[in-house]
Amino acid sequence: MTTRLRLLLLAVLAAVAPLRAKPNAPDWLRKAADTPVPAAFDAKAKAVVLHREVVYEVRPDGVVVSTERAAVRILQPEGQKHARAAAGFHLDTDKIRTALAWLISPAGDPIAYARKDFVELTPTNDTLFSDARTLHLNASGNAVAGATFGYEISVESRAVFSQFIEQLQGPLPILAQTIAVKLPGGWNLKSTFINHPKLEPVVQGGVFTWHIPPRLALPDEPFMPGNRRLTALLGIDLLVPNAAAGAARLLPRFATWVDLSVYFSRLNDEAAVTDAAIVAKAADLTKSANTPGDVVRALGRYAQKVNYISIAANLGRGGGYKPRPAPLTLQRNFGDCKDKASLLRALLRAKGIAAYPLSIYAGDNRAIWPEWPSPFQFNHAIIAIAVPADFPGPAVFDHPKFGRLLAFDPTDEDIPLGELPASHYGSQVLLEAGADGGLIELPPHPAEAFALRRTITAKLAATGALTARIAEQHHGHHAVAERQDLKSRTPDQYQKMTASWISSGIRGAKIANLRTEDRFEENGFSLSLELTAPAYGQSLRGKLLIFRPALIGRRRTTAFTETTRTQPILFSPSRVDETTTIELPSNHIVDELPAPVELRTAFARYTSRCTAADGVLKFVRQIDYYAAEIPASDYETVRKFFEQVIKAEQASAVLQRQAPQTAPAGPAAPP
Amino acid sequence: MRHVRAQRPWLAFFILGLLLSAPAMPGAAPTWTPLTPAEAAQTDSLVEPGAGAEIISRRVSIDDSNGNYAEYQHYLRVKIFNAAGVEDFLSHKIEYDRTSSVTGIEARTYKPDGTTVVLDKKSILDQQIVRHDSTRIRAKVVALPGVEPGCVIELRWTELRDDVQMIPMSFQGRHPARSVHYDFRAYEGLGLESISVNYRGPVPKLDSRGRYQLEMTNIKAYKDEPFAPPDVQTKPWLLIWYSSDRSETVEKYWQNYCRKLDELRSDRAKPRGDVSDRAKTLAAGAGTEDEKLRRLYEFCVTKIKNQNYGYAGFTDEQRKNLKANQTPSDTLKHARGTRTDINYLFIALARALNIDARLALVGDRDSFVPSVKYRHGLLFRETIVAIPREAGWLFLDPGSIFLPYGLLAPDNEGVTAVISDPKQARHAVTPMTSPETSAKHRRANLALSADGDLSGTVEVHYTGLQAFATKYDLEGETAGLREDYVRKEVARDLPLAVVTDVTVAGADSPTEPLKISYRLRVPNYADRTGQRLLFQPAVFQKGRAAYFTAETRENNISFRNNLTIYDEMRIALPSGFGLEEAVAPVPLFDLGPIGRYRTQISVVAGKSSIIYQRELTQRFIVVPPVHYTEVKRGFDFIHTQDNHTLSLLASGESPGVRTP
Repeated sequence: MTTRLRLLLLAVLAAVAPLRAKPNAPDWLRKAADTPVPAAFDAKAKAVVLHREVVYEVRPDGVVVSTERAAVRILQPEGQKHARAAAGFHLDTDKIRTALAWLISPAGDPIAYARKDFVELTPTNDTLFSDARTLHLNASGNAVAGATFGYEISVESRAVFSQFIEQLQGPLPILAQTIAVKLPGGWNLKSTFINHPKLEPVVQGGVFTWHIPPRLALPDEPFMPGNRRLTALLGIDLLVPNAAAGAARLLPRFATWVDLSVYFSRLNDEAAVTDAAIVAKAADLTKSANTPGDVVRALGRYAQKVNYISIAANLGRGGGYKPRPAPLTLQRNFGDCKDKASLLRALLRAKGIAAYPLSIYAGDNRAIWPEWPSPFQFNHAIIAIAVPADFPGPAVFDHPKFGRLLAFDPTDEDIPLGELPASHYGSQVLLEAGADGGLIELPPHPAEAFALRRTITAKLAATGALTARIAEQHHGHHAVAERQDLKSRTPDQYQKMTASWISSGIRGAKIANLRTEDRFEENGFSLSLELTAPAYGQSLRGKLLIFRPALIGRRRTTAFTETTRTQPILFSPSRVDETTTIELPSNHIVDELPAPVELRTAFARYTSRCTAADGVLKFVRQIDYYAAEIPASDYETVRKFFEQVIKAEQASAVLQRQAPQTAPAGPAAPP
Repeated sequence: MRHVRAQRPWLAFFILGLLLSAPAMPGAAPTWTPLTPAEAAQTDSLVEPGAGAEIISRRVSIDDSNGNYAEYQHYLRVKIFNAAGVEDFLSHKIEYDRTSSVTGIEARTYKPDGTTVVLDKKSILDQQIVRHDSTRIRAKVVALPGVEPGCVIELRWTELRDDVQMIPMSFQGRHPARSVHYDFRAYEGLGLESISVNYRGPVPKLDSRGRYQLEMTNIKAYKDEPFAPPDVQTKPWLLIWYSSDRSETVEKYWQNYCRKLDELRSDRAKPRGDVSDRAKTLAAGAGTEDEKLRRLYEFCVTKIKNQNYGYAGFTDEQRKNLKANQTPSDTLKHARGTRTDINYLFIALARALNIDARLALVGDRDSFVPSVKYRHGLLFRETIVAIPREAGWLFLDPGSIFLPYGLLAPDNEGVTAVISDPKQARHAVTPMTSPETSAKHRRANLALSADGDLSGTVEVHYTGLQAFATKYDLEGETAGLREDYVRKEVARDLPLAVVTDVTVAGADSPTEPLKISYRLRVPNYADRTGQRLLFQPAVFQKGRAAYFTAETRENNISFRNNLTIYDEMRIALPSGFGLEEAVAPVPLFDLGPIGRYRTQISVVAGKSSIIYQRELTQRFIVVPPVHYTEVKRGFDFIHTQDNHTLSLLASGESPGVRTP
């Protein structure tokens, strides 16, 4: 971030200078400011939305003006940060008609904020260019407990979509909420409630109004289901008369998933052009390919290596769903997810292999609401490729019409063909194949593929000094994570990261001979290193030697420290197997070893066992997580499980010297 | 028309900012240079093997001769080695605002197969980043075509900046560079001043074309490392600015500067009637000058609120509408002011008592540390008070909240202060607080159960700058947030600890000591084996990560403040257990100029409890990386000692604690 931007953001976000001498807040806000908050509504809340109203005014030409008004009461000083307003819009089709805010002090004195007090920002995270904008106002510097903050933002939109979605729940509890849609004569609408009981609107004079009952704030707990499974939403589909002026400009309604497939297919087919350059490239990439599987691998790998750049233009006109022509992506060697998928589709077509775009919600495999077909449900594009019947991999599935298909994500270049990013498995996705497309489900998480096997061979001296060799074999998503760690760092940085990790378990460890091997095609990764640590074990007067057999990767904390839980806990499958052998110092016998542990639950199994024979200690531990969703009522089981794992991994072994001698009680201080 | 404006107070921001931003701007090369055989064959960085990309050449050509605007011509040539390098150089955002413009963006990618891809100008996009009121920040954004490992990219553009007063030049960024070159043509008729930090290139001289040439070669990438000085003190950079008059010597410059400060003091810190009366009232009965000063100090810190902090009770809006204090009388009347207002009031009060309290300006050790070697008084930005003493100066800062008498804020310690004087150039280095003065004393009364749980009460007392820093963190926070702060602090060391009954006393008082107490319970603190309990008596150091884990070091190692941390853990042992072969850790370990580490374990009579005491004293020091191995070894040893384990044997006899 440059100096200018940094300084500006600091200045703006810290405080906002309001208009002078505009003493009156609107009546609706004053009325809200006088509203008492029921004491028992949400005892933990630091602020509450007293009133929220959203009105969509639809004009005959399909232009939609949405106006949101909200009033927020600051209950505690910690709630000051909620005295803020935000709205999103698209530059290509939308205009801000109104942006106003007020802050009414507990004594009733208002401060007014005008449009110029709002900051307009462009998202810059992974996007080089975007037509998306957000409008922000932060009045927290003036908010005190008991104050009421309110805003009114109105956006005029000429977007092409005949759908919109309204979020009915957020980080604050909401006491009262009204959503209204005003339609021109002859128009109608269909409403879909998501994560909320269906409500019938009050309809009068072309105005559909829903009065939403009070809502609690969205929870925030570790390992809970994604917000899309919890957030209450209202989806609106406009039913536009054919003769309406807006009918020509607006996209037709997506009554079914097939309708959406038809819409996307047209866009995709226009882009997946197979021209001479595409044909030549496909031929060049597959000149050594002997089988259809090899062809798919070669072209898939190429598509993964096309650079990722997101240029999100014409969003209000549907530009976010339209891939760029495949020849352009080929020539530029960059594109976003749909560009890369389209390029791959064109290359495959050049080799006579069919492929179908898939739209997916990346990041949460339970995010799709089947009851509401809409492009808004997806944020990512991947592809399904027709493959031979014997093509291996957990991402392969059978389609009743298209046969054996392989789901593949060309955006993620760290995952080999045949596998998928973890959060994609089990997702409902839209297969875009014209009238033959529709919502399908990807294969579930494979149970066995995500594993780490670690072997440690060590020697412990009587002084407590340790030498060891560690060898790790990673598979599946363990391998992906290691691969990403290695790629994103210089060798020196990777060495330092590894040293830091080893030191966290073995004090003062010095590592050497760090080697890695990435077996990308089989999604494997190996790592080995040697280490020395002068004082791993502690000697007590030369008579006892104490050390922890779990040398590295000892759990010392857990995400589950709260005593209560409201949401289910989600687990993904994974396995860690570790075997450690430690040659013990001569003249030492085992006095105590950690007790064996076996913990079995519906979501995980943990075992650890420590044995000693012939001067060698052997420590074996294994943890298996299963794909599981544990109800909040069983939270205590989860807490206890991790507490016991921590206890087991912190356990020590005690050796006794057989022939006590005068020996240093511990390591000497360095010079 | 060009004129020398009053030096804007941007300088410090420029210095900070130029080093916070990546060095994105290279110099002009008027022709394209195709891929050379050496570049094509290169597979690794020559400067820093393993890097994802290497800057072959970065050039910035600055022509400020115009008088109305400065033209920057930028040029960048980079060899890409792997995917990480591709990601770093694939796209570029070049920002500009109302005072600048960006034109002439051109780029080429020379691919390993010998082909060249030229950037299509239609793919250069213009993007708004921020819009607020009349402020607009925009950027030209471009994704370079054909970028892949093994390629070379070449990028150039022109930037025009209005009315440039200062020209920052940075040389080091996140990638190694073979050559970074600036050439600069100044506006004629004005003198030039400069600061250079860690610049290792040739001394810039005016060449036949009227330009200064500056270059550094073989620059490694900047690395973030723990316990390093601020990057503004570590990276190489220069700052050039215009000066209307260079005829005076550096000594003369500061002499004049100190004289002007003295005039400012006379004007702004004049002890008028009400101030004079108040001073006399406060000092009534005080014997020594020091006692008088202490009374004035206490008055300023307890009765005059610093209006820029939450404790003063102003909202942002109220704060903006506050009438500025013009004189110490205003500050006195309003009982609030800025840091500078309060310090001026203190000077005025002291002067009313015929104490020679002077105005002093001081730098910030967390940024570029200004020096009187340069003719730029603007680098000294913070106002404090200086009072002459026999053996130097007493520096005070009543305008900063929570500072005990005689202490300065941590970042104002150990830096040069320029002091007002009617006749001479006066400057002195501000003192460092002793480690013993800035201490954190933590006392715990704990009990270990037979199951290995640890529980009890903890009391933490903060003094000196430890109190200052913690009070600063807690300032303006509610009781609930303060409790959360305490819990988070404890959780850093003891992630499974349950903290309850938190009390915080003295956090809002400028003069009262700070004390935090709480109840602590740590389940499974000790490791229970079949017949033993194994535990670390250094409760708050257990499991903490080592300070230094890397084997090598690039930057200086900096311990930024003097401090002492005392721990006294009284741990009652469970009945049915006794100490077994107990050994104390090494009682004293000298870290040389860095500090000292001491521990002691004693057994309470009856062997029912142990008392573990630990003291770590750390001093402000900057250690060159050549000594890193020794520093690391020392802290590794402390880390080992902190994890010292005691064994309790069930129904065993305890021979007591022996020191090795």
